[in-house]
Amino acid sequence: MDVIEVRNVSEKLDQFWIKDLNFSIPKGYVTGFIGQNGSGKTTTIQMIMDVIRPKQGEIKVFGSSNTNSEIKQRIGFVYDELYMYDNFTISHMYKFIAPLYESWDDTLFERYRSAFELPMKQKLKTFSKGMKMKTSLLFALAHDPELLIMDEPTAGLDPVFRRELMDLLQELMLDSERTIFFLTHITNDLDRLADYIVFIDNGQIKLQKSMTEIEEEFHLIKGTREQLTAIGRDAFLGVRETKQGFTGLFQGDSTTLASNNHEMIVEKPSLEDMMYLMKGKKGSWQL
Amino acid sequence: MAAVKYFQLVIGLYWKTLMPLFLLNILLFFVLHYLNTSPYVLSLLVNLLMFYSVAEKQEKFKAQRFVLSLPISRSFYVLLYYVFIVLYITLLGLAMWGGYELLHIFSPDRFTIQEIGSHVFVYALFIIMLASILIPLLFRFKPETIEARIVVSLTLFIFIILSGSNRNFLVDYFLQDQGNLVGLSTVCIASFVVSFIISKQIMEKKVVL
Amino acid sequence: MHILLSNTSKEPLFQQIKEQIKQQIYQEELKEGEALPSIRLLAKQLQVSVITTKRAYEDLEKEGFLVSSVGKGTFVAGQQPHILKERQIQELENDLEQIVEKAQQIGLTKQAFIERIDLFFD
Repeated sequence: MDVIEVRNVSEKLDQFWIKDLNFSIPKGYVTGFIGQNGSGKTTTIQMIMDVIRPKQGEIKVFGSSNTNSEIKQRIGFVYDELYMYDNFTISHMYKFIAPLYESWDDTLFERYRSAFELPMKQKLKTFSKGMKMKTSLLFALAHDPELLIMDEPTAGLDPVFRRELMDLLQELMLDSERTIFFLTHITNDLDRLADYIVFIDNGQIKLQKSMTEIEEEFHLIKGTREQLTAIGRDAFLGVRETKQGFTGLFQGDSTTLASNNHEMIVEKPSLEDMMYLMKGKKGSWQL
Repeated sequence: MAAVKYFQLVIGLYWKTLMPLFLLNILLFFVLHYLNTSPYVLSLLVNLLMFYSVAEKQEKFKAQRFVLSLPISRSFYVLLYYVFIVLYITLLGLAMWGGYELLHIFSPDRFTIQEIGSHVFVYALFIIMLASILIPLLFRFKPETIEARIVVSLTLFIFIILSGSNRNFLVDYFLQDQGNLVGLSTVCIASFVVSFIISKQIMEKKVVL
Repeated sequence: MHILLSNTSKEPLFQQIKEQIKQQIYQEELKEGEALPSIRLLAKQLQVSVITTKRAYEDLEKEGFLVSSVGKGTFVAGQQPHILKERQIQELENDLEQIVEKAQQIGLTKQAFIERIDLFFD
């Protein structure tokens, strides 16, 4: 079952086009949404949250239109910034946010607040970027949401808290009813957590697969330039060449590539390797 | 009952921002009145600045983006905002009434009880009119855009011309006879309702919050 | 059950989990009927994604090493000793094939290769 379905969504915004977006987020899993800055990730999340209402296409959350505000009872959201007046305090926000959720849990709120070491009565403007992110997380988690949507939640967090956050998310995933949709450009965060990957580039979905499929299907091939000429660039999804040799992203059975006598190096690509190599050619700088 | 908790949200969001200007508004009104100067122009100016600065602050912190990600629909949010404005104006009216009563005690010869009631009433109607024009515009345009600024300046200009040229000219006109007053009330309330419908439409059709 | 994963290995994570569970079944560290942790719990313990442990369990089920029943969990399947042995030999043969290929690549003769095997056997 899919918790989020995005169908044929197109919208022209100031900076760029979202072109015929189609993807879905399965229930019970963590889906990582990756792409460069400016690739359309944040716009997509805002469309799902009905903050941006595209003129074309359809977005369904929990099976009903995302313009139905009732579905938000079951969603916890974390944006890349805390959009709240900076002279407010957590205690002040609590007063008007808590009553809005039917499933709000004060015990949970208190548990996360003390774990995140957040002060109740200090103005948000005195908070560090990490504290603001934790504040967003606090309000997102305190109503025990079935769907957690996060835009760059680890940005601004120190490495230790980042790991702790990953532990926390993994603990949340013990519940098979829970779904996490997680947007990031720090792909390391996803290596151990993500079940599915959606890769967006330039407003278009480039890839949508499970992590095990990615592990099986994609290979990072390193070899000499002669080998590259022998195999042909077209065999690869993307190639980067230097004087010393080439690195290419290959999809399929890598043993079919075995060329001449010289062995090539076959490695497991990281998500970062994949993003880098699958990116359109126009992005490579000519120095 | 359910609406109360949503209303808490709107009050929580705006009250803190509005409070200082609310107090300034009342203070200004009485000081000017006491100095025997028409308070309406300046007082309306403060109100206008108030609506404007709330919108500006909201835009600066993208608060709508956060608030409308909570379980609350766009239309309902607009409705609550208008209810909030009614509450605000009622409170302002009551505060002024109280203030007038005080002035009356100190200088009974300058203000009659009758005058007090009607002055406050007409003034409240003016603010309703101002809000009706301003709110949809502030929902439609980002406050920092040139369009918004032009519109705000124009509204201000019209109000200054109408109410400022002669001391209490407009208030006196509406107080002259019952018919004028009933007319003004009807027009103001109708504009407020129309304004709400327009704001609702604007929010529903808005692509980016 | 104990599983240790390497992030730098070129082998996929689910493959590593599979292999180690198999090994433990071969060595009878995991016995017939023994309950395994749920896919979600194992994922948390190993700090890997749910889909990774799910895939490992599914594959092991298909190969007959595990059985699972809805609501109860996943258990080690009953293994017949001679089939286990057969499987182990088959896996060894697969490994051998690769090693022989490598030996041929570096130009080792059959004789020299067997000599080296002898060396390790004693």
